[in-house]
Amino acid sequence: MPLEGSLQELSLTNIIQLNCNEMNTATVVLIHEGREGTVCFADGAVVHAAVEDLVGEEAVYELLSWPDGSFIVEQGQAAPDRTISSNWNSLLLEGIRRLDEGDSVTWDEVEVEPAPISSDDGDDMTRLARDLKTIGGVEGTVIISHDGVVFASEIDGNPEKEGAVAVFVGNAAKEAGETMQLAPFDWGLITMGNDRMLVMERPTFFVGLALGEKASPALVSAEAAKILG
Amino acid sequence: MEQLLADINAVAGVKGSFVCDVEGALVALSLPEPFDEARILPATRTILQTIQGLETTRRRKVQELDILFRDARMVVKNLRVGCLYVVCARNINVPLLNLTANLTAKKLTEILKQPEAQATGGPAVAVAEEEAAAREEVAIADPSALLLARARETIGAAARRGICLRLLGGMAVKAICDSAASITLPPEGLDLDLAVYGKDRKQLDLVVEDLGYEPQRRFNALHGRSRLKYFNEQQGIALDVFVDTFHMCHRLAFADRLELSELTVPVADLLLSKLQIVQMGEKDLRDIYAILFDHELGHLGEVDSVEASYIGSICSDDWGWYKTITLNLAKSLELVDDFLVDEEREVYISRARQLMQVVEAVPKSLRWQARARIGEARRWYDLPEE
Repeated sequence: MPLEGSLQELSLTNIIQLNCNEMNTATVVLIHEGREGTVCFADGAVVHAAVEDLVGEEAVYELLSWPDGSFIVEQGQAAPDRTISSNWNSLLLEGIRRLDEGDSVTWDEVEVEPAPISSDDGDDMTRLARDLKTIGGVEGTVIISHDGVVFASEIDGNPEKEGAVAVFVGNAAKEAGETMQLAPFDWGLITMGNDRMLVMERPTFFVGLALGEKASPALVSAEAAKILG
Repeated sequence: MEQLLADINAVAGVKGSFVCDVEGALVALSLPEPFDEARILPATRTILQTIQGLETTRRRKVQELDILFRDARMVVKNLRVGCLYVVCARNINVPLLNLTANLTAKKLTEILKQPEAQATGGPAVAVAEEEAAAREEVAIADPSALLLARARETIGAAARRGICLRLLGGMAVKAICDSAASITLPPEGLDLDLAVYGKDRKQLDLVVEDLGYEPQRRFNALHGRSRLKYFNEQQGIALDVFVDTFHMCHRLAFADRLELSELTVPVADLLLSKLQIVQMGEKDLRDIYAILFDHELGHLGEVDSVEASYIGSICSDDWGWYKTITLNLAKSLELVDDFLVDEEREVYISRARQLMQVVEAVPKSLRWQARARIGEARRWYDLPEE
């Protein structure tokens, strides 16, 4: 029996993550303002997508830009074609990058979707981001939902891009911990060039903390845990 | 490759390690039960996809992932031709692990780039030589032995001229703590911190110049009453000599203390030099753990122990010292699970709590009580210049 729902309740980002993490073979049909698109999964990989004249990765990027609409998931339905070979993490990150650069829609439009926080929550998040930045050795903070919506940030550069790093590292760490039976995930540190980001998870969001050169991740995570409660 | 993994597995706190290629296939595995391929491979694939995804979209190289779980830790080194995964205890000393793991990662990268060399079996000798070279590089990466040898040489030369020169700082901790090898961090540079009495500072110039150290004349002319700096260009070693006092966030006087121990300042003074840091970093915190794990609390004059009553006496007259020391001991107790393993943890907690009790119980002077009334509303420590 097909699973149906609203993109406002479950974004395509989440649909892709769920199907890939669960190693599903499935076809997802998406409908938005009278337009229809499909994304196909085979054994946990995104293998095909199409919307109007677009196929392959470009179709995925277009579908990721749909802020609302509905979807139907047909489990076990194989793809009619194979037009995508990139891994799903790369697809999503590139999608986020394009959204950010305005190739499709703007982040303002995206933030209209699930964003299950009231303005009071938003103020709390902003305060939280500021408090986290006061920790010695922390140069920037970003608080981001599990599906990539930035709640608050106090960071140089692009908060969506920095937040995306936190989301992908956090999700990968959680998943790796579960399969290796090391969970629960506490915190993670990614080193990219000269930059280090400490990633922590709370029930509804990830926190990314950009660390200075001499900051100790262990000490910063302990301070951050106190602030996060 | 197995030998390289064995080298990593020999580091304290490592449970096992494995290597996968760029496709996520296992290339080498050295992990105990219950880890098997069914548990490892999906995790391997997830991490690889994340690294590849981030590199594609952020156009920056991912060097490393360090993931902490409740009871374990996984350090992932990106080899570009695959990944090295190290599963270890949550509170492993990561910089110490990196001394071995970073060099091993280099060797693994070379091996993975030349699979045919492995297949022929011919270059086994070459691989063994590379592994031996890697072990040598580990020794170079951790210059503790070299620095300790130079410290002993300098202190010995000073003693022959009747100068009481003593070691301070991280190298002093390494000199007197057996546990330092596993608890403390490797030195960040070729620096030695020393302590001397002001009456000996002119004589000290002659001693260190004989050993090839050049005084930093401008610095010494300006600050020589409290601090002297020297540099040995040939060896790349810098001496930072504190004269009469060690003054960072608080003032620690050496008067009548330097003679009490042979190589380093007395244990209690060394502990105080670490506990006085208000913005304590991981290096200082680890040094405190090592000192208190390796040394019992003792009475005044028992200089091979932590003279708790000496520390108590300093705190009894100076609320600032008291405040910083109690804050740092509390912080160290709070974070102990992240840095020490079972036996170390128990011993540390017991000794730190005893020391807290001594500091709290000692009668406080009127000066102390007056300052305590102002409390934290006014800064109670100095801001060190470096």
